[in-house]
Amino acid sequence: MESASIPVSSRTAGARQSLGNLRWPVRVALVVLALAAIATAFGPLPVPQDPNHVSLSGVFESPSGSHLLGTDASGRDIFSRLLVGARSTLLAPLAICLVATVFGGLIGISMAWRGGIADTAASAGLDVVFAFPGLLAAILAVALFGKGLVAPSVALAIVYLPYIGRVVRAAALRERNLPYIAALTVQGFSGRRILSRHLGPNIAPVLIAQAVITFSYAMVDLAAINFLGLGLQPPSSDWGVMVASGQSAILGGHSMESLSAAFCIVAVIVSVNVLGEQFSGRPEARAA
Amino acid sequence: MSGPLLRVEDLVVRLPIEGRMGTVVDRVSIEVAAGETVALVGESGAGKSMIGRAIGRLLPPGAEVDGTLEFGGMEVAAMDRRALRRYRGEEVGFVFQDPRASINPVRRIDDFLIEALVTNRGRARGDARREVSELLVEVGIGDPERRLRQYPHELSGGLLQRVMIASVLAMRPQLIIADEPTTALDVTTQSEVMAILAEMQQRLGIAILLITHDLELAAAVCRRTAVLYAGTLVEERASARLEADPLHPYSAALLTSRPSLASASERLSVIRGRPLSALEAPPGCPFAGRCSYVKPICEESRPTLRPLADGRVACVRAEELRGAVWPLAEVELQGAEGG
Repeated sequence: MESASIPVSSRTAGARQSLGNLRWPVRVALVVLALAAIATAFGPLPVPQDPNHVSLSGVFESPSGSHLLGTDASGRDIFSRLLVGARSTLLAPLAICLVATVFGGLIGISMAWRGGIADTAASAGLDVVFAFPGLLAAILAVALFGKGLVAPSVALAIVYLPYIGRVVRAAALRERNLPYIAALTVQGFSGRRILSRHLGPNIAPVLIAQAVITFSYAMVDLAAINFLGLGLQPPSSDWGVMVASGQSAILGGHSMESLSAAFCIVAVIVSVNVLGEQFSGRPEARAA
Repeated sequence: MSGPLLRVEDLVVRLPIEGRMGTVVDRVSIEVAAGETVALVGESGAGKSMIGRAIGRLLPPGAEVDGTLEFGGMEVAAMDRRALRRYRGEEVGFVFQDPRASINPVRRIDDFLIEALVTNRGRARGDARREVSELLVEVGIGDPERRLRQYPHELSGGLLQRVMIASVLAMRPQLIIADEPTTALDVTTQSEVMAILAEMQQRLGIAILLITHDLELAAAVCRRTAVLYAGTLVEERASARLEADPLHPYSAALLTSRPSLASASERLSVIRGRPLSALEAPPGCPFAGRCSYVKPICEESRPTLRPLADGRVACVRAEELRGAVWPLAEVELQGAEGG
């Protein structure tokens, strides 16, 4: 039972770790995500400039004191636009990730617990959904329900559900066959209590790891949808939209808009993965 | 209460093995009266653990169970979810082989012990904590307060098994099913754990069904011993009688295979062949292939368990072999081993 005890004891150890003990990539990731969270929470409030203020006399300005990252083709302040855009760029994938994790987790655990025909049927169902590439499903949803953030988000949440469900099912199946679950059963605990108090928490590290990956996938897919012009529309300053709207200026040597937005996307995704790995996926990395 | 506490009659357990249903327990009947200690002895694969699991309705999904399994006059198979939870939680306690695997490794000892009392018995947390603290002292754990704050991996196997026993005693069950409770422990701890179980049995009048492969242990703790071979009962006697005068050639052969302090010998005698599971058992006597006294009649049909002397035995030649089996067995088996 060594393997079962490792994730947990190190998880508590991880929680007790002070920031100073963390490896430097983790610290960088924490800072990036803290900034992203602040931007998401307060983005529209403290922006230095009106993100939609068009100034045709000041297009493609270089970074300066008043425009930290310069201005775009319409003379709008890029830094302010990035700050404001953080909200849609980060919240939508977060929502997708939460929905997929909650429902995928519930489905996965109940499949493993019930077994039998219900498990087989649900497995087949998940496999069918699993066959759809996320981006394709999102584009299909846009074709059916029109442009915007809602249709592709719902589609992505459904498509990513099996990613969570299958992994959770496998982990729960392994866990439920451990003798301590049988011991709890003969102690007279109800299945619901065993699941919520014992089996569920014990497979949480696996769930968290998978949820983190799902967040990254969803964020990339949504950025792609917005980049393609199928999601949010200009003048929205979603980062995917900004990458797209800045792309014509790149040839003219003004790459700041596309590059800065793309850099933000990459920075957030890398940070999320570094953190996810730190706190869930790799117990051996945390033991040190 | 009239009648036995636990009545198992013609219990048959079939499991899906490689796509087919295979019989692992074949028409086993056994009774445990209130406060009685009974041992179920058999080699690995004899089906003894499956009987224990069947009693707790703990068999893996897909298993088929036939026969009667009654506890306190109630049919276990017919219990609804509520009755089953009461039965498992409060009337029958289970002690498993490997305490380290049987306790959620993530939760502290106090959590593990208190949870059942609080959820299933409706105790207040503080009361429950005092209660389990006293219980730990009863099962021989010296500093309960420190132990309660520790995680399972911080405790030794012997301590954990005591914790497990304490968790069972907390429910004040009428019957404890102890499935190889000492196999994962070292020898000194084994005897301590068994002593605790025996003491609890005497003091609280809890019946014990001890599932083990250790005849000596069975005889030391249990009044009655049932010997299982290839999923069937071959003999059931008072433990003391079984040791002195085994009726079935298999029991006799098992007894001669033990090391003895009384006589020194170069090599221990062995039973030739290997133990069969119920799956592989031939239609006749399952032990026929390894028996030193086998006659053609043994392979014709499965002998039934019938009363003989003060016990029950499933051997067609039991009467004529009686007395011959035991002292002669040693000679015969050593001869077989030499050849």
